[in-house]
Amino acid sequence: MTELKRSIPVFWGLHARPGMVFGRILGLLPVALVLGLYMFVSHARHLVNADDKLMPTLHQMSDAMKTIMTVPDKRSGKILFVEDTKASLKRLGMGIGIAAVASYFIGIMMGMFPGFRALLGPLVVGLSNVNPLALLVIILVALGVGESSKVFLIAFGIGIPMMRSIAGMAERMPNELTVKALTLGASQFQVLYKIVAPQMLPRLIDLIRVSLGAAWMFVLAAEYVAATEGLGFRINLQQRYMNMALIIPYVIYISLLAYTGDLLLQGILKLPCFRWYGKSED
Amino acid sequence: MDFIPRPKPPITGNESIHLEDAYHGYFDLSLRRTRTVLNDIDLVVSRGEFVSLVGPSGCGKSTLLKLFTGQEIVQRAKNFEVLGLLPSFPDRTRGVVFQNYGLAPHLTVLRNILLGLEFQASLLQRFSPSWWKRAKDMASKYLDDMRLTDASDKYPPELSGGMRQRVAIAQTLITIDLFGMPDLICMDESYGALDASTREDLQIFILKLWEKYKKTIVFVTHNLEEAVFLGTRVVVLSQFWTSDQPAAQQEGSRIIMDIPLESHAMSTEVKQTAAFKELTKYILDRGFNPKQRLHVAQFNADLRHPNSFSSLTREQCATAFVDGSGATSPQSLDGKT
Ligand SMILES: Nc1ncnc2c1ncn2[C@@H]1O[C@H](COP(=O)(O)OP(=O)(O)OP(=O)(O)O)[C@@H](O)[C@H]1O
Ligand SMILES: [Mg+2]
Repeated sequence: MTELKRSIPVFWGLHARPGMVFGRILGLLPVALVLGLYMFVSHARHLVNADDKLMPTLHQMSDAMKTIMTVPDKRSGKILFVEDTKASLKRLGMGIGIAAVASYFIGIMMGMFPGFRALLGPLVVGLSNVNPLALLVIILVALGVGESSKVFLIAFGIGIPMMRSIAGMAERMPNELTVKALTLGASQFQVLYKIVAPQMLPRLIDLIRVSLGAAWMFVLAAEYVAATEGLGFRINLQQRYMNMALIIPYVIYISLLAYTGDLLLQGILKLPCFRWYGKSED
Repeated sequence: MDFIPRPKPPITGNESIHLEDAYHGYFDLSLRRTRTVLNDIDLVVSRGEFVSLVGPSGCGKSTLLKLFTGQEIVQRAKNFEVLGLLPSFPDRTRGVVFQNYGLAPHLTVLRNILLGLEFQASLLQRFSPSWWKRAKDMASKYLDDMRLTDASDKYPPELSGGMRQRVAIAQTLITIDLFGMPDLICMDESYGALDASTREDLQIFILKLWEKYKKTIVFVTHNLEEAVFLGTRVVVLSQFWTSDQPAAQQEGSRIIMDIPLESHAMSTEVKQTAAFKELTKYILDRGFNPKQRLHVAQFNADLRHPNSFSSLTREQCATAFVDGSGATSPQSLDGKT
């Protein structure tokens, strides 16, 4: 018996299979390239001007981070890095939480009850076309520069589009399912909370994942404009001193936080109770 | 032979379905008017009848069932009562098993089968362990009968088409055992995706259930053998018929045959007898073949079932269709027209 074999390309073409190890190496290549390029240019600039602030070396960046992560602030006596993180995450969490709860309940109601849809539909569609950042000044004037205005910006900015999506998805649910439930003796309320709501839950989580980027954007924008702490505030503050050694690590840190949030939500969707979700349906 | 109106059977108030001069259609963009799907349907079904409803694809069987369950409102009819009432929105008195399943994707097979109980169980039942035990036992009996025991913890998206269909059947039928509801069961090609052996099993299963509870069943199927085997009556709905009238007025389906069937003692062997085969062949030839259309005047001869009737005269039948501007249009139910 001859051994059946055919050669499979590792990189080129439709049939390529890079494999685990080689695939990882491939992925790291461009990252290393960007990093190396940065280090090279930054080094070259420091040779010309030892005080160059635009492209700090890795050493300068880690020094700046070490300071802000360990040395307490002179005025408040607190570690600023921790305070910034707490402040931003709290705003983000509250904003997303309010957006999720409101869009879930109102969205399902709009999707399932035509009367409710007729009532709120135009308003929600209208609001979803209002740019939240354009609204920022009005929000600040109306709600003050405290926490509520920042939370409101996030909740409004991502909540309204999420509400629209949930309403649309609930509306597009197969009518057979509702009819079947009614013929099995469900009340209208039972159709809502036993049939529709559980099916909308993983969809809501997916929507939050998609909205996470926007939520971060709103948090930073609000903190740029009016705040006394927070990751966005710190970046804005350091910008006055051109302190790139701190700003660049902060940007990376924010990106990592966002990525972690996404992974967390993805993890929730992988729970056994959502096993049915995402599989092809009839 | 002339088209003679056939008298309506006496209405005793004990009918499951009483439909007279019913027209239903859907708006058709290319015609810019309503295209008639059901054209002058007269149907009286007594309680406890097992009606097999057959007809060519697209003739309006599913549409007719939608009228019964209340998913759609008949566009025009002289009389329409289901279980003694003008059908309202879907409720537990009228069960339905859909052509395309309609399972709750987020619930396991077992939970899907128990869905009716979750909805209907009274507070007292919810807190009674003996009632729950009975319900659980019933559910496992159904899982067993539907050959689904191994799949009880799977979710609908993880099932094959035939398995889903069996879950959908169990979902509805188990409520009869536990609550004595629904009184009318509409089954739309419920056995369509089953293999031959499971299918025969489930044919016997539904017959036993019907014998026990004597609920009215309207069973749509594309399998004529199955229709003739199961029913106490086979109704053939077809768009393939002729009249002396212009083509546009022939649009839509009518009941072209309505034949009473003998009881068959629950043995599938009856399917092999000559009489059985002859009847299925007869239905196939005259109901399903677009080339061999039955003339309107011949309907009368084929409406053999004592409950079947036909109220229109030859002239009325010429002008009657949903958008027909005929002078003899029957009254619409909401008093318009
Ligand atoms: N919602 C709708 N809008 C427009 N036309 C429709 C609608 N539902 C059904 N129809 C039309 O009505 C006719 C009958 O459809 P129906 O689904 O009742 O057929 P059927 O007898 O159940 O066919 P099958 O055996 O293939 O299931 C078809 O011509 C179909 O195109
Ligand atoms: Mg159909």
